[in-house]
Amino acid sequence: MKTLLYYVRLYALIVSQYIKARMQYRADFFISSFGILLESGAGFFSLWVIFHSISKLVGWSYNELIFIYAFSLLAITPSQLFFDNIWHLSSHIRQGTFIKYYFRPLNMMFYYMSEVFDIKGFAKLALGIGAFIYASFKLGITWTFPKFILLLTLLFSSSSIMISLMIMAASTCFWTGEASSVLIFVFKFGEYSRYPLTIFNSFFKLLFTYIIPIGFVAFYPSKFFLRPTETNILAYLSPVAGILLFFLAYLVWKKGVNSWTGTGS
Amino acid sequence: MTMNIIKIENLSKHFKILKSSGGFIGSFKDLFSRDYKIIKAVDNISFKVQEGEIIGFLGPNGAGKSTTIKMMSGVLEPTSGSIFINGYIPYKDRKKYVKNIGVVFGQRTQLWWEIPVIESFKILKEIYKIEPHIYNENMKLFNELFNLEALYPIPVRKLSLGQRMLCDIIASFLHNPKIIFFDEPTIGLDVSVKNKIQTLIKDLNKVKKTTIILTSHDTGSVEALCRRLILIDKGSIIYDGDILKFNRIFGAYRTLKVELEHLEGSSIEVLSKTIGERFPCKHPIPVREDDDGWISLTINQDEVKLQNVLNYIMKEYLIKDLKIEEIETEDVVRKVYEGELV
Amino acid sequence: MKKYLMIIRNSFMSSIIYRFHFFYTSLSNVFYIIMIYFLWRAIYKGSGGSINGMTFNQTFIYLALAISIFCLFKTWTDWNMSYEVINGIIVMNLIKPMDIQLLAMSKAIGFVFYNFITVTLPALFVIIFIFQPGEITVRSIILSLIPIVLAFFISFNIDYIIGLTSFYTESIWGISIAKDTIVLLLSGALIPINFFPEILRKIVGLLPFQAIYHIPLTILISKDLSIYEYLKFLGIQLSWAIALYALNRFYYSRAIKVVTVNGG
Repeated sequence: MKTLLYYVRLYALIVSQYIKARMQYRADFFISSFGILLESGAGFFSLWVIFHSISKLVGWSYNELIFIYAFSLLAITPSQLFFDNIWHLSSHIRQGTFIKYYFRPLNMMFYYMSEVFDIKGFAKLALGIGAFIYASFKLGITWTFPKFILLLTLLFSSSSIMISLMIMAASTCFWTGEASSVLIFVFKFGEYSRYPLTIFNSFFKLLFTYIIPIGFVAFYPSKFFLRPTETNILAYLSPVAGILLFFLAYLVWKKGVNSWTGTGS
Repeated sequence: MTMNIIKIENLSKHFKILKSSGGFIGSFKDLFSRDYKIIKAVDNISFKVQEGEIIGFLGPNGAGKSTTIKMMSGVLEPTSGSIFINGYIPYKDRKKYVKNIGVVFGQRTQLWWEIPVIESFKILKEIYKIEPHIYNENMKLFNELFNLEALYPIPVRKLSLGQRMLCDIIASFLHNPKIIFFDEPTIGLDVSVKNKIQTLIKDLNKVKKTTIILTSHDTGSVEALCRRLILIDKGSIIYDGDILKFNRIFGAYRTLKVELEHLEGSSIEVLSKTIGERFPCKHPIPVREDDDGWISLTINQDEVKLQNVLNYIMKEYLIKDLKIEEIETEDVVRKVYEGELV
Repeated sequence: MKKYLMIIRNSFMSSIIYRFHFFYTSLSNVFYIIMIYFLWRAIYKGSGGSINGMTFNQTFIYLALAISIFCLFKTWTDWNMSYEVINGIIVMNLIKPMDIQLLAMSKAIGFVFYNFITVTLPALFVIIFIFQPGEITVRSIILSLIPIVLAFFISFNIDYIIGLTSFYTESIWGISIAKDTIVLLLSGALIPINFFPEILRKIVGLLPFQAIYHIPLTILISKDLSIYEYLKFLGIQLSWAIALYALNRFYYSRAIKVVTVNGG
């Protein structure tokens, strides 16, 4: 407990300073936030255009798809806010600057991730929340307190899955020296999580449930609220999947950190 | 008798490197190749260090200096041999071990890039759980030795290289570590900043009795700071001893570098021969052409006056530019092999 | 001329060294095509075969090829320029006896070759051998070669102009993402233009982006394209190529004056 407090206080200290410093780059903040809104917004735009020509996608309505998409945005946002430094891992590794993380009495993953807090993620968060509220309203979902707690739990496990997948993908650069292609590969799957798994054939349905579990990022959790009678056992496994996957990701990271030999003489 | 704070025995580190074929077709082949070769970066070295010593590691690029430091700081696991530092095996108990050491890299900062200097120090205070009175004491000391206050509000990224190095060095002393590793702290810096850094490190070592391991390519810094020198080449220690002896022998050496007008390839042999005939020494004056086209002559001022050599060259050749530097590490290493430092 | 060829060669070779990058980029693209397949199959389910004048096959081939072209032309030109400005490398390049833009384009071409092998070829393989589209004939492939070259040139100029903005803002991420999104969306690469509402279709017709995707793609999958149509397409591409090139040079001469070099 004392250690947890130690890390929370430290994180607050580091990140508050970081945000203060970053806010001086006004133009960059607004341009980047605009870029993110455009990128995420394009997804909604595509849905809107498609539904001009059809009325249901494998049995799911326009507003239901908005709901699932918003859910996936909310699930991906934490990885963007707190773990954005993962994208720089391969350049730290290749230039040798990663070595400095070994020299403080801190958990290395914490130290590494605490260096970057991606404030433009707030734009995505805002869009996600807005779309989520819109969809729930259009679908007439009533939010009771227990339902809300369920939502938070599921969002927590979904974001944990995304974070874990990204960490595992990035950790490959401890061995291969390069990570951006793997990261993009995994990140794209996160983007595919916005669609109902039922569009896939059985092979891919299994793949995205058990191997690359993006089904648990948005689709299965959303079913709790959209089709409560249809949810199966799998959906209840979401939190478990989230926690287990994070432990796995942390192990992979540790293995990578220990085996990295560094460059230079 | 002071305790040995560092004890290293028969330490070795081997690396596996992927063999790379050259050329266009080769890069396709390499996509599927599994050919490795073994590099012995550090080969069976041993030494001990007492608390409070400042020792210098000198050696050419690729000699094994950085690898040794990485093993001593707990980053790399040795292939074989033993390391005991401050009662720990560095690689095994990293988090605990690291609480009592400092590491400073030349050119790379360990402070937080975007935020003011003073905030980095405050973060360090939290990380190392430094008692407030120790923190205040140290900050006062740092301000006395070097006006750190002037830099407090400036973000690290806005500092010059020299200022950044000084801040990094000071920061490394903040939590009163027992040992600090300095890796090329003076690289890329001009003479006045180098002197400031050397004074700072000396003063802090005196006050705090910190053991200091200095790795450098820069013979001047090593001479200024260290009482003891460890010379490393090709993964082995070729000299471990008093630096005064080192100074006595190499202190008199200077490297004279000249840029000559109209010098063809064969003329270097001619120059070398004539220099050797006019200025005979125990070991003939080495005359080399550097990559940038300059000619280097390594002169022992105890045997030959540099001015005489320079006058001769000026008479016979047209000099476009010249430099006089301390002896280079490669030349030191060569002379050790020739038996000059035993 | 030789030095530019060397740069193309180096750019290509330095990409190939990272073998995993090779593998994952290809795989990523193949998965994306699979994704498009399932998504649009679901969209077409229960639609009676044709939506907005396109069958599922046509839509799928169109989109799969579109993303392959996007990956083909992804040369990070805008990013490289921003990186060079931020790290002051731009000064080194300004001193070299080479035209900076030609230098950037040579690097980009090297990348294109790399992308062709890692992404486009596997994608083409998947598309042609698994789906066997009758729309793509030898004739249409040959006809589409020049349009693809022109499309690259247009795309490069857009990238370069975006890269030039980094002279002013020293920040590239948001602008580049915005550029990619807009280009993809408004060129018909994410959703065929036929699906757009009437007003949008008109707007899109006035923009250069469809010259990068829509035009070469239409040529590639049209079995009987008349000479008239073909020349009309080429004309549109050429006009955009020239216009963007002119804009580029103009913007470039203004931007160079503003170069603020930082670093150290």
